[in-house]
Amino acid sequence: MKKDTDTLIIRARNLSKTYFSVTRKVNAVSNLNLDIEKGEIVGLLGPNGAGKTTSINLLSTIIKPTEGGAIVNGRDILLDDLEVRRSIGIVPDNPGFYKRLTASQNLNFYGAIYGTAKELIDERKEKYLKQFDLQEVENQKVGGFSKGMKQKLSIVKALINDPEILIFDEPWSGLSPEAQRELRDFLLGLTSGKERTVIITTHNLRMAEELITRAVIINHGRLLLDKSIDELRRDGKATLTIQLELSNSDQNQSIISKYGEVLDHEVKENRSYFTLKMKDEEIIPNLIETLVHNKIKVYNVARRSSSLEDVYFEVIGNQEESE
Amino acid sequence: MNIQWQGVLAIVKKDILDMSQSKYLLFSLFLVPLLFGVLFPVIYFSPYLSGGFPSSSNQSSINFPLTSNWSQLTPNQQSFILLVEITYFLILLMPVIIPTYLAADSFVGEKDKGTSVNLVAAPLTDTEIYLGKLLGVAIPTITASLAGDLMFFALTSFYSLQILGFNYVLSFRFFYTILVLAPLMTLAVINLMIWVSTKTNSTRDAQQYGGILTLIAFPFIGTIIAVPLIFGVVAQVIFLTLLLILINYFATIIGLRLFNREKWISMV
Repeated sequence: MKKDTDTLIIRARNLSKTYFSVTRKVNAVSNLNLDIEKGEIVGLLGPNGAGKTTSINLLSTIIKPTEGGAIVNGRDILLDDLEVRRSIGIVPDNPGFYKRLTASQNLNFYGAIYGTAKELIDERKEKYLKQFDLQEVENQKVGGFSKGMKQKLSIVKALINDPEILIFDEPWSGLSPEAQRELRDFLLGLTSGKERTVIITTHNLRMAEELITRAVIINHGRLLLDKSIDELRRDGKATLTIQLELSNSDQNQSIISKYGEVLDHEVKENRSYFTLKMKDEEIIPNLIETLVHNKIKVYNVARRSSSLEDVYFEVIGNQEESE
Repeated sequence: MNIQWQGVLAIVKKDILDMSQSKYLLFSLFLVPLLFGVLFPVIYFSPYLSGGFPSSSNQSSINFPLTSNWSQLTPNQQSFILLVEITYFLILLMPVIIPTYLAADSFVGEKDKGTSVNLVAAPLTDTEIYLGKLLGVAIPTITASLAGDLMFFALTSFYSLQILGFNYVLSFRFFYTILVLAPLMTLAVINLMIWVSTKTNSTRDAQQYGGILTLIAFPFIGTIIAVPLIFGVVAQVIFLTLLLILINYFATIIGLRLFNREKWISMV
């Protein structure tokens, strides 16, 4: 997808990371090309070991690429790594804190190593701890915090230097449904002004779909898909999926399979349920007409637009088939 | 190399604050100086106040002159001086034992807690992280061993005045040991512990391996330096001090090379 280079906050070209061991060579990330605009919320999706964490570690200069490079917030990741790091706030998969220190002491430390002035640290601590209902535990040791509290504190930590880019590695893992929703709402609020760019790696596709503006799917270190959610929705129309509830008939399968690809078929009591993938919505009236003509009762027709989950499994499935 | 000291000092402050909250580490910081600085002199020297150890008071003169008035001293006084020399050597173990625990907690502890990712994601160079960690362990260790040395000095001076009538330990040698030798040995141990930390995944492993290595290597180095000190061979003392400074310099350079941020986080 072509992008206006002036608005790009991340531009990665042929970004690669290979790990060598005595017995083997692992391409964790291979020739990743990625353009991210300011204010976007990008979902970096893929199965375990796909290269998601390695990609964000490369972009945040935690690790160095073996090939290629990237410009992050106008700075080269190889030549100006300190300034790149200064512009990024990271919420790692495991929210590590000094458990013998209080929440406030931890935040003071992280603020100080980013060179943030004490007054600004205090101001941001007050603002974000209040936002996450952590104000009351500010002076308590982090060792006694729940996973959810640590995750929230980790977000406050990432915001303490007011970064242009926020990176979340599996932010919803281990959180209760309430905490997941709270985090989603917070992230939506955080990016509403389009001032901050957010990159999220996650397995929670449902949550991602509600939040992200772009989906980037990678597997085996390779980029498989890079599309905006709007584009995906438009694409979803082209591969329309419908669900049918019909009376039982021997002819059901043969009729339906003429109109599209049967994804799922189930018989419960005296009803048959079909999930059908078709190319054009104009096929639906013809299908219903044929079914009625063959004395098959149509109890329900539900249109289901393609979800991020469908796209994800299709992309990953296609790659695995081709290998 | 341009070092941002603000980041280094932030790490030092955090590490010292973190240590101050750990009963286990505080125990090491306080117990070892008390053991070497107070308990050893009291146990070894108190019997001399009531006439000395039976074996030493009955023995003939020791032909091992350590003072200019050696021949005028009683066998009991001579044995007291020999014992002071032995315990004096033992206090060199303090700057070796204390940092073993602290450095393991400081370096491998970051891996254990999962905080190493946050540290390497911050705008700090490897040198700044390394220096912050080195000083974060060195400052409390040197302070604790200095406190232990001063307690040892005060008590031994008291016994010396009571038993000998003069202060045997008030010498250039003693101050050289606590102000030059002990800090240099502390830094060397911390560097060694950093090497060990790059090869281990848990604080416990680092303590065990590091403890064994330091207990083998450093008393040996201490002996090499302590012997010319006892006999006052100035040229050898200067030479060995320079050697220790060089060892530290190269140990820090090697430590910096071994301190690989990618390895550090991949071992979490």
